[in-house]
Amino acid sequence: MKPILSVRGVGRTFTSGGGFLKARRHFRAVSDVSFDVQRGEVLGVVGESGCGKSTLARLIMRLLTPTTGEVLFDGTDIASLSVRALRPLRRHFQMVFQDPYSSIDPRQKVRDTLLEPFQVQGIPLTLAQANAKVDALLTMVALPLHLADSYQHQMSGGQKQRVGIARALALDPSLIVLDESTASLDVSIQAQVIALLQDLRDRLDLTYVFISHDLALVQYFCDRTLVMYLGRVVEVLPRGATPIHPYTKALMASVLVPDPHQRHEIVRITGEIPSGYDEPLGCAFAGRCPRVQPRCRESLPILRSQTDQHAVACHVHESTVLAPEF
Amino acid sequence: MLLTIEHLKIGFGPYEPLSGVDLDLDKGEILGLVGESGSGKSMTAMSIMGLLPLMGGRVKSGSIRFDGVELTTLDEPGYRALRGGRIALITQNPMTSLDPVVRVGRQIDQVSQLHLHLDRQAAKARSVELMERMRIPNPALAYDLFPHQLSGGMRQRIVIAMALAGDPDLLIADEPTTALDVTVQAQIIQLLVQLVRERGLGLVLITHDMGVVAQTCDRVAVMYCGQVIEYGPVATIFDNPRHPYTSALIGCIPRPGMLPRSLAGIPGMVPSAGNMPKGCRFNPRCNKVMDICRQSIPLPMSEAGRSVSCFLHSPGQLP
Repeated sequence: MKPILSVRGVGRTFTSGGGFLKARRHFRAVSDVSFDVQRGEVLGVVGESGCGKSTLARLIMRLLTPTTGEVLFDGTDIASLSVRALRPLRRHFQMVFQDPYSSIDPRQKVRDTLLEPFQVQGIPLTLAQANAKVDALLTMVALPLHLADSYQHQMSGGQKQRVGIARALALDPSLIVLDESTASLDVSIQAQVIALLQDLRDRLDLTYVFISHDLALVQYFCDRTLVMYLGRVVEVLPRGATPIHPYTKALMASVLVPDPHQRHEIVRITGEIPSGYDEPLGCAFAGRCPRVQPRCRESLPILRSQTDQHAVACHVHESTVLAPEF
Repeated sequence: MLLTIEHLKIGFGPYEPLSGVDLDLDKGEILGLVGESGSGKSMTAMSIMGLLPLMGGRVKSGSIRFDGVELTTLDEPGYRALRGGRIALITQNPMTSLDPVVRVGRQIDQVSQLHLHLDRQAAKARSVELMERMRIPNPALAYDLFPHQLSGGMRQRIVIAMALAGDPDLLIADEPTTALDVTVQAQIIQLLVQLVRERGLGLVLITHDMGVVAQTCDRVAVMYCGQVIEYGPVATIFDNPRHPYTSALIGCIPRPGMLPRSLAGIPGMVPSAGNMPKGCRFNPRCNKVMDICRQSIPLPMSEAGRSVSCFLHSPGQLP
């Protein structure tokens, strides 16, 4: 089956400086990322702040234009389309943002927020149709209908995020990118929203790209997870698989398990992510890796398939796996 | 006991964001305060810090005793001597608790100059040493940086170093890792635990994440709508949670290896201060609600070092 989204060698470099006396500096936010998303799949993207996961989300949505590579949505390269040619396609892929406080207009009623996508797309609605749409969307995300006339400051964080989801659903999209959409919520509300998303996927045949820094949550919700580090995918992890990459293992070890009998020395990883301004020559994780070898600092490991769905980019793993054969 | 809170009630105009909180904490111990937003965790912290008047609140009744001193009747000069000195607060967002135009090292100096009366050189030496203890790489260099030059995790380390600079006995950490990445969160949490064990501090750790509680705390107080609804040693509470709200909070955290669709949220949301339900405040969201829960308020029932306020386990009282 043809994938709904196919990302091919996508990269994005930001340039800053370049004034009279200032040298231009290049920041590589995303480098050479490739993956496919099948229709109906939930793909997770996980990593620390600065790993490029939000940039990747914006590249998929074409809120940013990639410097290299292609983003094929249903076979069409949306990275190279003109803004005008792109507009009619946009209704098929929508995004839910992290912060409902800043992604919903404080001066608009919920009703107007939900109807704005139709105006943008130039879809005329009669008053009766508009009312029916608003009611249907609120029902879909399990919000009471009277909220249609509320403003965002009259709602709780969880309600606002549901409005954000309802707005994304308004034009009946097939792909939704969720960028840290539950990170600002209480754990109890986060669990509610995740259950709602699962339910919507089944009912509306949606495909999700779910971005988060919480590996336990991503593993729970997603069929497959991309682990990103400094703009590159270091591991593609199917649901239930054991992590291979030392970075994924470290992320796993950082999960605070809600069981006081499973207390462990949490920190197996020290330091923080290096900057995309001066990308290291070899593996970007080498500076923090507990199993680092000399070659890790010299050449970049490439993503190699382990099994059908599982792939990893790590020299240490390659040498331990290949060793018995020689 | 280092800190004892008894029957604390606070008022904001007609509202009562805390209605009957009882807690205690010994030296070298970590007490978790856990609950959703709006459950009164931060209000408890503000009451201990004596910052309620700033926010327009007041203590209505009850007592807060810190090392033998009654805090509810302490005057402002008395509080000034304690705050930042013997009692220190770490807040959620390090960007708002640091001055953006003062070098971070100088900000740590100020605390020890004020509370320990050190001269500038001694204060600087102490700050650099504290920064080293916080595992800040190159502390002597980092001393001269401004907050915006540091990452979120490094800023939070500076805030913790500031809290320690006054040589406190009691540390209150209000969601200290919520704004941080998971790997950095794990580092900061471990650092806090080590500090408590080495220096014999008392730590009140406020969080909404039962995972943080399970990994760090000795005892936990579960709060809902301004009341402590379950209280006891962490292992006991996690093995055998008695209040349905406690079980529900634990059930909200995804665990590695969890089956799809097994994560249970808590339906509904925390009621607002003006709309408290009659009877047990959790009854509209509770999956084990009985008729009596809608009529009367459950009394706390204590046994073997733990207590719970729920009709499944305790007798009630009429409102």
